[in-house]
Amino acid sequence: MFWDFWVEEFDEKILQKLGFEGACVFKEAKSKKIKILRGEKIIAKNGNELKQKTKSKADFLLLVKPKEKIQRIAIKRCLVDGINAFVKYPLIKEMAERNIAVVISFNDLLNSKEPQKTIAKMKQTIKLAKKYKTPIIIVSGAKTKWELRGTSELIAFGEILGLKRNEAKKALYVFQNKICERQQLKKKGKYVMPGVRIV
Amino acid sequence: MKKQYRKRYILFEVISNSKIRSDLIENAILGAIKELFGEFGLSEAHPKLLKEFSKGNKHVLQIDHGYVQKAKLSMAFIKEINKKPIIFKTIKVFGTLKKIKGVIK
Repeated sequence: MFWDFWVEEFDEKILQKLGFEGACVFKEAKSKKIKILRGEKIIAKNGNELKQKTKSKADFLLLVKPKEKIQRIAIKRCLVDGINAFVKYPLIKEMAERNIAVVISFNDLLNSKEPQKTIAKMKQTIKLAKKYKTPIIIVSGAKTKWELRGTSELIAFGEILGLKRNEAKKALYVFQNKICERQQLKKKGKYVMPGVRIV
Repeated sequence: MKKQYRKRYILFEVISNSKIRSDLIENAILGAIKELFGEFGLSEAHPKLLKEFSKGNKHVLQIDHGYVQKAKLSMAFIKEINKKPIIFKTIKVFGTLKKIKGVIK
């Protein structure tokens, strides 16, 4: 049921133990027990670089810590599926309209030099996301297998940031399932573009 | 007479390459709660590792009922004990010791 949508070092056993059904992995990985989607991290300094990098055929495109100018381009042109950053008012509303998710990574907090500021910004982003009904994804953001965290810990993290228990649970599977469905449609050749599919 | 505080019992598992002593685990959890929520939070949470229920990698943490989520988050903050990387995985939260005895045995 639950997905971890940001895993850099894949470990099948640990992920299964922690209670995940699937994972979005940013490096190549194969598994029979766990569903795997291939993700790609995009770090861009300008618009041209962003456009080139978003041509990738990965299942999930994640824009990591962009400047506000890059955020605006990515959101207005619908170039990515998720943004891992602290998004402000007008952009977060547009993200909801274009079905782009806010990605809250536990690893940002774990390795933060100023955790108090990070928590405050995360709380603010979640408050806005709730207000404008922007999809929220909570991920472990693990760079090594020892940075992976369990489902109940991530749900607790969501609750501390201001989500209700139900909302925190949904942040671990609702948007992720949609991406998985889209991927299956793409495999069958029935997906054309956002909002258009062959019936 | 009114109870002093309502308790909850968190059954959790420590995922690690080597075995770690329960007193080190307790110290790490107390330290993490103190780091995140301060001395005041620590005094309100009443955390205590019940060593008589520790079995293998599974342990039980007694905590105030209002601090269950905070304790889980604090445990997630622990990266290593004695320079050995670890992961805490919460299995279930119980309301009474009677139920937890049935699960552990």
